[in-house]
Amino acid sequence: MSALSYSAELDLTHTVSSATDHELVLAVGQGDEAAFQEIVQRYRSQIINFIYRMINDYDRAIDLSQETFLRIYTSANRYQATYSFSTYIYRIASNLAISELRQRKRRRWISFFSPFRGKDDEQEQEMDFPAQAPLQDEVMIDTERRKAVATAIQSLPEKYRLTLVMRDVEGLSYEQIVDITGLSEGTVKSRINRARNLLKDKLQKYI
Amino acid sequence: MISNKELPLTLTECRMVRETLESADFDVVIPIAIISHCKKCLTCQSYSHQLSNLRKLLCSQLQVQTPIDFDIRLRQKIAAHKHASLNVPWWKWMSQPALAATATALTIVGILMGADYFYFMPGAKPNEAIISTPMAFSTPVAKKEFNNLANNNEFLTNKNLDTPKITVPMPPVNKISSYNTLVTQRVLANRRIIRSNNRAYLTQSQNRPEKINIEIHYGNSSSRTLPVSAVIYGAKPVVTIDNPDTSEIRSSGIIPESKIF
Repeated sequence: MSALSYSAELDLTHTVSSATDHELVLAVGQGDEAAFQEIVQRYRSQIINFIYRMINDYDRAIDLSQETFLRIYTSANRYQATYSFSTYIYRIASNLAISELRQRKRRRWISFFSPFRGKDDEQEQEMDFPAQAPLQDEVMIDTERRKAVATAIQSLPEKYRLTLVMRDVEGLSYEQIVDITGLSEGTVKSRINRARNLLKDKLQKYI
Repeated sequence: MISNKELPLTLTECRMVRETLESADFDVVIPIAIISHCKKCLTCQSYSHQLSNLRKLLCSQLQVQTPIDFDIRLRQKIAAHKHASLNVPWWKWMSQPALAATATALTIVGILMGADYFYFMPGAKPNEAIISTPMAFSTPVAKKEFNNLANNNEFLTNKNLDTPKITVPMPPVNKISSYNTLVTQRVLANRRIIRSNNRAYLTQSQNRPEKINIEIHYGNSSSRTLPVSAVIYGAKPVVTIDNPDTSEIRSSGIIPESKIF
């Protein structure tokens, strides 16, 4: 069923909360602000987490998440329901995250020629969450373990990190990852397996 | 290389078990066959244990909190984007395929028109559309040159014209005493006069006569404006002076009597 005929059948009496993702995007394409708000509510947490796990920079992750939703908003009238909407939004988010990582690589290369920069300027710092409870040994260990995991994920090559975060952190299926990345299933499985093996070596004392 | 058939049964089983474990979802129940294999095979058991722990470790990562002002900032960005899209600089229109195609087409048309414009320049081809002046013809050298060219010009032999007409081939005059000897009073919209040094070149893209006025100066004092129709016939440009009152031209002596029809 084409997107056009689908939109013709869209029942506008549906409430946005009960509408499917496809219906919501088509409604956004027709200028429905409430439908857009519902999409943001449904996906913002997942997208922020995914981008944060990819780039490990909270502020930048928020910016890129907003950029993702902005692109959804501006291109909603061109949306075609070939894939599921979650695949569509993750594809946008992953492209933005990869672009960010590549820009960082370039910046790092430039910073090689400016050795007088302070360490405060470094973007790649582990985010410290504000403590919600009094510090205890167990909490400290837990925090240390999470930091170690985050650092280990960040140390992975970009192509392995993308597939691993999608699979083991976000819990996406192989089919979704194949659709998002455009890779073959064999390549996706191989990369995830390779990433896990790398992580096993780095996190040996925690597993 | 050892094929699968040659491998011991346990190794093949181990590979299948690991592949199943790797691709299994979190909420999927592991088949009994896999569990029983892992009980027997210590390597697979260890592998399963490590894989399970690793996935638990990755899942245990804290969810990043969404900032309170996320929606507000998003709204602001959307509003800013809408505002920016209304004020797109002209050079960014080129990113639109339709506009870029239109601009390209206009550029090509402009280039072609420019080529047509310069086609008639004497520097590009000899004997181009040159409107020489009566004063230039009045000099003995120009008269002689004109006569030689007029005798060889096929347009002068056309006697079947209804109105008195003088067809004058335009020789490539190399020297004109003064630029002001030819003054173009009026140029039609699709005509252009190129003035270069002390020459004037008329260009025309269509082979049909159009009226222009030329001002003929006699000596330094008197002058007269004559309407003429100029026609350029491809590579053999001539100017047809279409004037019923040819007495002035006759008396001026710039065109031989025998060549006036």
